Amino acid sequence: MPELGHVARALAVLASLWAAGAAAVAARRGHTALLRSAEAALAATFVVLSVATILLLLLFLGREFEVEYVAQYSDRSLSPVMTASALWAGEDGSLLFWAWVLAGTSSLAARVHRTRDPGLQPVMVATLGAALVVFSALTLLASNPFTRLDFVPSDGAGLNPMLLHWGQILHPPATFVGYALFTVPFALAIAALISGRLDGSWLRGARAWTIHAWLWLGIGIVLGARWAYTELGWGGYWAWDPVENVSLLPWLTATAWLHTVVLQQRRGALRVWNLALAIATFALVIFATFLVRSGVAASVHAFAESPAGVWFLAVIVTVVVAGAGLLAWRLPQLRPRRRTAGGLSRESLLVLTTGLLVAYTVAIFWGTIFPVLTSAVQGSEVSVGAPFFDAVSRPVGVLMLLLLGLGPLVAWRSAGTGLRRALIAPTIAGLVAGTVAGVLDGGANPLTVAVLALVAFAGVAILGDLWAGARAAQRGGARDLHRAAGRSLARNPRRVGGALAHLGIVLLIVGLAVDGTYRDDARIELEQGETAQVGPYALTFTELATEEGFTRSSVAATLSVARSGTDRGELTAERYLEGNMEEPRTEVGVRSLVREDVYVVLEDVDVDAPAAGFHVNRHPGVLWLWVGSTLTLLGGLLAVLPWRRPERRDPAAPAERGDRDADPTRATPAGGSAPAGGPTPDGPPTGAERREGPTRGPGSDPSRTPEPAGAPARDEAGAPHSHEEAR
Amino acid sequence: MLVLIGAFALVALVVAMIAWPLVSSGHPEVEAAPDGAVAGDDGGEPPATGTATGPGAGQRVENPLEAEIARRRAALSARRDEAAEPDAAAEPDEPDGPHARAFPESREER
Repeated sequence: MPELGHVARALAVLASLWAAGAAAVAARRGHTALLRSAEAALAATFVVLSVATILLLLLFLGREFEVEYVAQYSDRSLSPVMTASALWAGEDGSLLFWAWVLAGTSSLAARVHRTRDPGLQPVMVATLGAALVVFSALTLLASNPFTRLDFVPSDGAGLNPMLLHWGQILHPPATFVGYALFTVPFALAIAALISGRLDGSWLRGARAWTIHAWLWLGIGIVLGARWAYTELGWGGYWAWDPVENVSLLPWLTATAWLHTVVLQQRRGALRVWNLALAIATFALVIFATFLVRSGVAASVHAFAESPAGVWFLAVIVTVVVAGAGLLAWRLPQLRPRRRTAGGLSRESLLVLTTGLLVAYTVAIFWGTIFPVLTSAVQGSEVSVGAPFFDAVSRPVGVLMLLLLGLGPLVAWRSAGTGLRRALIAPTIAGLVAGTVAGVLDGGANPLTVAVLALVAFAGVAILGDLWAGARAAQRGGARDLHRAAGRSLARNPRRVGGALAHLGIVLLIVGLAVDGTYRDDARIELEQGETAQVGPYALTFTELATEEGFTRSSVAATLSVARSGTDRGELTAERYLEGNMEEPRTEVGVRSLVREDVYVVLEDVDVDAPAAGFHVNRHPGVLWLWVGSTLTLLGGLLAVLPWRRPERRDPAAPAERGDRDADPTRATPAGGSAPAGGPTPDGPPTGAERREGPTRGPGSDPSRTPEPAGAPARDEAGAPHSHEEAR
Repeated sequence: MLVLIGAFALVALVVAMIAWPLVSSGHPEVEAAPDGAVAGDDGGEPPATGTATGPGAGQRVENPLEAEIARRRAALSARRDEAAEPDAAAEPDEPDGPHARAFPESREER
């Protein structure tokens, strides 16, 4: 059966080569049949890589240990689910999985953009094909998961004990899917540069793909943090490990891109930035892969040194050189059409946000490659470590909070005279929160107090924005506030999703700041039945359970948690040996409370006494870290879901809704009545669209006749430049 | 033997998938971009030059009338997309902030 895997991967290389070549020729000569053949080649690549992936999965589940990769990453004691997850536990399988996701994504993108962006699609297909050539050739030539051993071992080596966790099932695939999805915006940017279609058309499609990629990578990062928190046994969720850092880099540039894209769509500004960020994000994805697989960085996540690292280095150089060259070539056509509003305006805040995110990316990039550079130059590795990253992150966090708070308060084009009034409530909230935090803190941590004040400022500003949106929807016809909130979301999911994502970041910063400042730890030794006081908590050692199985032996201690005499539940900390492990592993016990987590590691045990030694950490505010990150990703999800836009209750009576809605030329797109069943703002067409077609869309609105020659100039998304133009 | 059959099937499948659009080009059933940038490919409209199965099939259209129709279709399609993106296509339906109406826009911008 492994031989079929070889055939499938070889066919994937040939098919993707054909896809790249045929699409390139089709783009040059306008040969439709050749272009369709290239699209079919992408689909064929997906089919054969699906066969290869399923084959490898079957080899794992069938315990076919004559295949080296199966023998290396599984054994007979693994559950079927963990055995299946071993597919991406090593380099060879994870590259195959990545190539498979990339093939599926590429095939889907080619199909979706065939009708959405016919001018960009041929070059996009060629670029995606080229990316697939690299990945499928890698799985064939450098990372072959189907290599046979000369003998058949009776059992495999099993998974690394650290991977025996639910995180192994979800974290790697989410991250790989995110990485793979970032290829499409990159391909669209390259297509825009090569084809010279530098208006906003590439942004529409690229934005939807970027949000999906951002979402998946974000899920991967958060799951990885949660995994580290519960598995590594030191209570950390982020260690500034090189591999953690490099996964954050493309996420940060993608976040920056999602902000700059608004400026191009509204004002035609930052066109070079948007193209550069799309290319940089893809380059950073490849850089992340390079760092993980080249062996240059020491990390718990890194794979052993492999020839794949050189491939990825070559891809990075190609992407950067080609991207920079194309940008330089098109630079004269990319000059901004209009000057972006100066002074305090939402535009300037977006520019600042983007600059901050890019600067933060550069700082993390520098800190991550510094040990690699010093090793290459001096011969000895000098690591900057967590203090450097913490020192960089603190001012970035403070500025980010300020921008998050000011963003909803400042209008487009100009801050306006109403800014002073708008600042009142958030400022009062910030002052109150700062005062309370200062009193509780006792003045020991002024930076944390300032952060908490800014958190309140930003939180109230964002909530006020959401409230204003819901009130506007209520004025627009919703009967109660609950319905109004739903209507506001359905009308403008990007806006509501963005606000929730921002609120999530604020909560995340709360968790980071409070936990970073106020966490503490203690070492306690208890005999069974004894109680120890750790901070406000009384921990009672209630039970010690031992297990001696055929493949696993463990000892687990249960502690009950009480605060001020009130029972707060119990937790179990465990040490165990399983399979072929040489060192015992710990399974931490965590009791998550609203205020803080009580986090216990079982360090040593006297089974006869019975007695045990525990390391107890208190992580205050850590719950908000998880809530905030989840809310951020939920905001992203809301922004890409295909919402059905509500109909206006009475489009003939605009006076009820105020002047803004009185403008009929604006009411249709902004009010959201027409697109029900029309194209969704993001992503592929919905089922409703396919059924109803464009007949109900604004394109069929008799009041919107085809644009005559000499019509007012429109911005990157085709929107009129001003209200007057619209009228 | 099973592996050999499987390998043959895979090769046949890939070749068939890739070759089909080439051998069937110009066939009336070939689906295509409704925006009409390329003829022989636009959901049933015949190409402006040549015949559906003739030498012109699958080639870029040279007819200026066809090109104008294609341009207008693309413009309509773009407008549909714009309308589906309220943030991009127009000012938001909701206020930008409590004071959002204070400054509709500056004189220079107008």
